[in-house]
Amino acid sequence: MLNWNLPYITDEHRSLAALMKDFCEREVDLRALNDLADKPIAPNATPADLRARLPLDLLNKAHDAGLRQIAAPAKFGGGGYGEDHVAMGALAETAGYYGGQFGRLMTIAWKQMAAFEYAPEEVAKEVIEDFMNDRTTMMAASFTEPNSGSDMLLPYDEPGVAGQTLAVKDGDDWVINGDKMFCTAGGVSNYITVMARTDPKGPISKSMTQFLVNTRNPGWSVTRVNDNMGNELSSNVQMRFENCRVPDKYRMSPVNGAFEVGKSRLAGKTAHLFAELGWTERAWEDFKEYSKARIQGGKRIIEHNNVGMLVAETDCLIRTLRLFLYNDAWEWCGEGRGQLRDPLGWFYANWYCKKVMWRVFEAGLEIYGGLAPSRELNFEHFVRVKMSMFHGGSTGLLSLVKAAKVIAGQASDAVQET
Amino acid sequence: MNIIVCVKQIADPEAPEESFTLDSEKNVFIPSAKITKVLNPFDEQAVEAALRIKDQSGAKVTAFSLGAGLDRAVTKKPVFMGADELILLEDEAFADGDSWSTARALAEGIKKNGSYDLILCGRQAADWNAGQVGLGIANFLGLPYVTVAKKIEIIDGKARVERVTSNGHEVVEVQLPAVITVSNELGQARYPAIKNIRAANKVQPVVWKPSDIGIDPSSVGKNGRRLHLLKLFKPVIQGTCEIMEGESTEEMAENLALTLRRAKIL
Repeated sequence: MLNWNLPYITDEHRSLAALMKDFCEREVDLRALNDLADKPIAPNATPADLRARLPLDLLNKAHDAGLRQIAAPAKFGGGGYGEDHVAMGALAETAGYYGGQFGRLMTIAWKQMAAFEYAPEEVAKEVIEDFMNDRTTMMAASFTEPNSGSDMLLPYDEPGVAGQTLAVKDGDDWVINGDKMFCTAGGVSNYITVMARTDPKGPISKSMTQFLVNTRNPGWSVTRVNDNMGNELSSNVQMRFENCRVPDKYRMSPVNGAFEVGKSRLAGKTAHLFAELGWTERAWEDFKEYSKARIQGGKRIIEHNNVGMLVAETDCLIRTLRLFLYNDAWEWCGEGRGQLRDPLGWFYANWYCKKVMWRVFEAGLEIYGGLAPSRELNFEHFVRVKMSMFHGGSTGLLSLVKAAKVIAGQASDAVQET
Repeated sequence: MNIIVCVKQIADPEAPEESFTLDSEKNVFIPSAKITKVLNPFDEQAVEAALRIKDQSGAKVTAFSLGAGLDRAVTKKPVFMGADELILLEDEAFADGDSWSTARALAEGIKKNGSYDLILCGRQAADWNAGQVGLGIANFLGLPYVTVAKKIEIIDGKARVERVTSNGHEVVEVQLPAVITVSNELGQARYPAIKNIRAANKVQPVVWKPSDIGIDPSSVGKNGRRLHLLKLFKPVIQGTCEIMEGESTEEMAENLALTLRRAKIL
């Protein structure tokens, strides 16, 4: 159970979290969502096949409750909470705790709203109105490429290296050609923000531009579904852009300025980490209760030192992660729209979240023993899915590499995250 | 039309065991500081019943709550759902009352508030489950009282109520004003509206102390109790497992049924 005795949490935040809890308890069937996510994905799955894996009815109900659109600007009919990172954290944590996979579906929708802070007003209006009117509308962001993973994320800033997806101006349009590698929800989205090289020779941090691609237009396709050991409901795909035309009005950053803009959108990504926190807390509660019920050696296993210490250690780690995330969220609220901020908080949050999850995996394996891989427990689904997404927002170690560069004064201005 | 809804803040019924203790010597429930407080779920349904009437035929819905140190995020929930006003009887003197002292205070508060056509309460509170406050309010105000409503319609100054019975429901009519308790068979309460939560800071409840409603503090709350709690304890639950024998699934099922019948469970 989540308690809200935190200094950053207001009555308003608690009311929002209570709403999310109510919704999840009424509408989310954890087992059904897990089973839906675990349905085999055909090698030649089409976007329509991938959409069939989405619980559209649940998303529809989330919209009725005001939750799906809670991060969208109020002027477009949304909840207007997109820049209250503490509120979004409380909502995401609650959705992850009570809703598991549902939490991630919500944070994908919420996080993309941050991308429209810098879009031209008419583009933001067009897309967000589509999102509001068509409840099946999804959005995604694509960044890494088959030959550019860490090269994009660090970034490796040698001239002309990394980022082979090119965008070339042709009249009033840009024409995009190239492949993108890991795109969460790419196969089910109507809109994808795409980073493409607009300076073929420069260092990547000063050569990328962000575009908004409408996947209903020609030139975009899914080339492969990344079928992982634990799939999310939104799936994860590789994509190809072949002479994909994007009018200049759908350019979401200054030319060659995508990295600069991307920095100040990092706060929106923390919703993902909060959802992971919530799911991790739930996994911890489950093995805590198990350890209090299971009798071995004449007593509850939590009374055995090895198990008791694991439960206590992971409780401590989760509590510190929680405080860290809410502190960061609170600081980001104070920074204001468009302000560049110290990226260390995000790097550490990304690293530490993964560190804690990994330790919770280890603890659960020890505590459940032979039962750990059993499909009867939510634990195994949690481990499979979360391990499959450990690269999300860059791996933990890569985040520390970047943090070290910042501390050493070696980081370029474009220390960036997807 | 003026509808009053009485709502109670309670400790979350789903709170884990470690979030509270029972002092069996003093017969006191001691929640930890971290225990989550929620609105009594049955009272949420009473709010929903009021709002359905408001949606259909227009009404002013006023929520009342009573206690000490009331959590605004909890007690404002009726307003987030669509109620028009919130009145809190809030003072240390109101704490730890029983059904009698609570009903008395609420009745006085309702009288002070002015005219009313209908008073709704949840059928019981999910902490002590006494289910008597509504009855007490009706008694103090001299009003007719209908229990466990699953549907309420207002027709020509009367309430037409479908009441839950053990094998279905019955329909009764009562002249307004009246007190009606609402049962969970009413259905799901609506979610609070996000825009109302966002405007939460603009919602300022009216707060009354015992002196504001003309009541002696020594006659409410703990000091006004008429119910004496003799024993408060956590039942010891012991689990045993009996394996049903049988040559086949059908035989094991039959043995299970016979065992349950012998234990007077079936």
